[in-house]
Amino acid sequence: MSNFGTLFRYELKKIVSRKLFIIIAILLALITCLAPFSGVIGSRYENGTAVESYFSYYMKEQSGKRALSGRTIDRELIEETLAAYSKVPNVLRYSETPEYREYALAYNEVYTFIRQSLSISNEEMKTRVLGEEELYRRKAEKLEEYLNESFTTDSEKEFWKNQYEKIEKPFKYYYHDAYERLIDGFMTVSVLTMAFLATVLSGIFPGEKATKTEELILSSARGRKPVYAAKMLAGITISLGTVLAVGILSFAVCLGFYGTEGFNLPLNFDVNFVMYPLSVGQGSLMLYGMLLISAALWAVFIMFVSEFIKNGMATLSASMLLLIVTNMVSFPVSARVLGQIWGWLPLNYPSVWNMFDERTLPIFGKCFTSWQVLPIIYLCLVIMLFFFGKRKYERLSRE
Amino acid sequence: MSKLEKEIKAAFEAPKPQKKEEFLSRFEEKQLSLTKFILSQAGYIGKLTWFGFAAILICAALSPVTVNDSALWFVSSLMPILALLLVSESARSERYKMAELEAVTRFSLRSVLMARMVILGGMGLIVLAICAPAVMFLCDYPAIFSGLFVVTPFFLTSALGLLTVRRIKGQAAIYSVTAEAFFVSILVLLARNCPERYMNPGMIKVFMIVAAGSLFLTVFEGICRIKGTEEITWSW
Amino acid sequence: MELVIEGLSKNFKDTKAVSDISVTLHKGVYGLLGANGAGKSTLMRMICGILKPSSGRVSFDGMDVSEEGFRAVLGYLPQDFGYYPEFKARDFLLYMAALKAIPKKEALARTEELLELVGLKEVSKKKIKTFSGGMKQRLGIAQALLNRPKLLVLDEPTAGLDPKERVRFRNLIEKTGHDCIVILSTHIVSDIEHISDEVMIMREGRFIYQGKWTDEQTSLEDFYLKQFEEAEEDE
Repeated sequence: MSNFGTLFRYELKKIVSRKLFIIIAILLALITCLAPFSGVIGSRYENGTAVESYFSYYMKEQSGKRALSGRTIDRELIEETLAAYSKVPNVLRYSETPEYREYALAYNEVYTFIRQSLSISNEEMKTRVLGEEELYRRKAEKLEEYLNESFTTDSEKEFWKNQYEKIEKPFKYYYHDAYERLIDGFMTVSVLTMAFLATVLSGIFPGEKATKTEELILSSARGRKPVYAAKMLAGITISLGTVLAVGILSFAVCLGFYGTEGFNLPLNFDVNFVMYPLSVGQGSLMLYGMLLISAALWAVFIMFVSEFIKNGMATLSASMLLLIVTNMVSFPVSARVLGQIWGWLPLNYPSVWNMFDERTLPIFGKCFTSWQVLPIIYLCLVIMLFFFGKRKYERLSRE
Repeated sequence: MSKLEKEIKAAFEAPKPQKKEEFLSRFEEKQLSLTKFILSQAGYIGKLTWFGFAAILICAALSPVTVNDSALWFVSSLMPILALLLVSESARSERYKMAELEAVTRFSLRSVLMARMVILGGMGLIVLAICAPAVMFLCDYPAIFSGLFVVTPFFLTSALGLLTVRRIKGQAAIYSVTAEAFFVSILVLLARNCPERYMNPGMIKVFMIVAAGSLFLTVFEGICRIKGTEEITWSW
Repeated sequence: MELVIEGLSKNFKDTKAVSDISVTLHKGVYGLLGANGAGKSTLMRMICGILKPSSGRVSFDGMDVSEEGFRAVLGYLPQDFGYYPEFKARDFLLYMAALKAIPKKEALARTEELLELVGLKEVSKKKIKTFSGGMKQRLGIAQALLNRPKLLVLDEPTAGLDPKERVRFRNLIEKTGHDCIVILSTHIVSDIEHISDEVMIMREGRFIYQGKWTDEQTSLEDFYLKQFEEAEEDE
């Protein structure tokens, strides 16, 4: 066992001691830390002249939001919001008008929530008179329409209706910028994490041939099974460690700068198609939790492919191209099954719209959400790939 | 050779040649001109590189039809791949450990490298010259943004790539350049999720600085690479 | 202690790299001579279990080459081997010791012993990428001896060594050969002239000579060239 520990440590060392690993890890950390501030860096321009920094603009917005935090989105707040927006001129870039900053800035999230719930334009909002019951009734109707347009089955519709009813209404608004940034920036973090793993893990197996150490390893007593297990475990450790590191960094940066308030705000407030009774805090944690499992599967897949291709660069190129293609390609809603499989691939799945979407997996008449079934499916795939790869590696010889 | 063969060879030995040098000097030694040499190097550029150029051009041409609104981002994300092809092909000698052999020939490694960089750089600029105006014309964004968004990833990847191949030897350099190119490509694709962050006068200055700086670094690193062929170290 | 090679052959498409080799080896140093492309490295890779033979069998004291027990008693130095540039000499030997299932405490002691033996103790904390060719070769020899092998297979081990190092190496191999089977391949005759108990000469995948040479009157080099001439005459 002590030998395996030594082998594992050296396999880790082989990965992390490379200059490329260090450089890309620093780049990933930098982007993770800076991405949440993309909305507060720089200045707003009018006619080519900088008029105000985004940071001062944001501080004003933040103080307004904090003042509203804790209030129920009831008739009173709805009327207040609509009244504030009625003072804003009806122009294309209304958010750049002084009236907007003066009266409406603090209410923008509540306003967006109302508008998305009713699915109407800004012009129509101006003339709307809206009560609390009507708002939530119309919201429920819109969600039902959405389910119909999404080609969901009757049992799924029933399932989601029941879930939506569990969300406490009327909603209570909370200032929640930290969690909003975590959710908005999650896709950047997850794509870059997957790219990072493709870069550092593509050469784990082919690298031995490139460094001409393959013969030394294969002719050693522990050169087959234990080395294979050590390499795989090292790759999985790197993947989990990376996700944990970027997750901790993201949470630390966002909560540190934007504040910890708003954990309990219903996720449906921010992501209006989510009908499960989750909060923004829970949603953020789940995103990173699923990224852990997706990253582990992606790592094992890359290492498995590299064993067959036996070329680190080809594996890297293929992995990156796959990452780019999955990012660019999407299936129409009508292609339900294909779209669901595509959306549940480990490269696509870590995203708000795939993870919390309305598609479920029916098993024995019961609907299971993606986060309930995918960890098990991914784990099975990891085990399967591990053992197929093990067989391949054990038969390896320089023929 | 058997004993009999040896004895026959000794018995019927051919006479020694006479006036050999005089005979040979009658033939004019044809030498390859520099232009022909540069053109001949085009034939040694890898097929995969030519195929890559063609694929990038085709993808860029089809992008307004296939990816529609995302055409700008898609074409921009192809530019780092274009730069990767150029840089990795230019580092062919080091990659396949031919640098020392080429260094001692008449048209030395320096000439080979210059020829490759002229051909590849020319091809790269042609592809850029086609893609950038096309994107500027077809996309809804202001022309200067679109143009800068296409050329900046290309020059950034070229600069980073040439910097890398000068400092790291062998296959590891190409691996690093590949990773760099794909990272830049992915960052460009991620930018399409929030275009308003990048399409403002503040960012145009940033892009101009990055593009100009990358262009300068590309040219600088290219010159340093060519000069560096004069000093080949024994230990890689 | 017995290495048995029975009917070992290896074909690569149309080429017969090794053709029906059968031999039984006991304790001692066996020199494997042959020109480039004779099949020496291919034979050695099959003996070490990293190349699958087209036919035939290799076993050591009854253990087949595919068993872990075989590799546990094996020490191998390939002709062209690499290293991890970021590893230090000590790291490399400790890593190889782990691969050879040597317990950590013993590995640490053995590493120090071997670094001293091959003259790399002063540079043990330096990265391998800073080593000269000869130093890398000495490190390779050290890793082959880590597990006190009963079967030591060395493929062109003196490549890159200066004359002083080559003498030192020969002395080391001669001493090792008292306790185990050493197969040493080379195409430089002087490498094995003074230390081999038996010589095996390969040509086109076959043994054209196999036996002791100390009984002969001529030098091994003349003896080696004579075998090639005789083989050509037979053709």
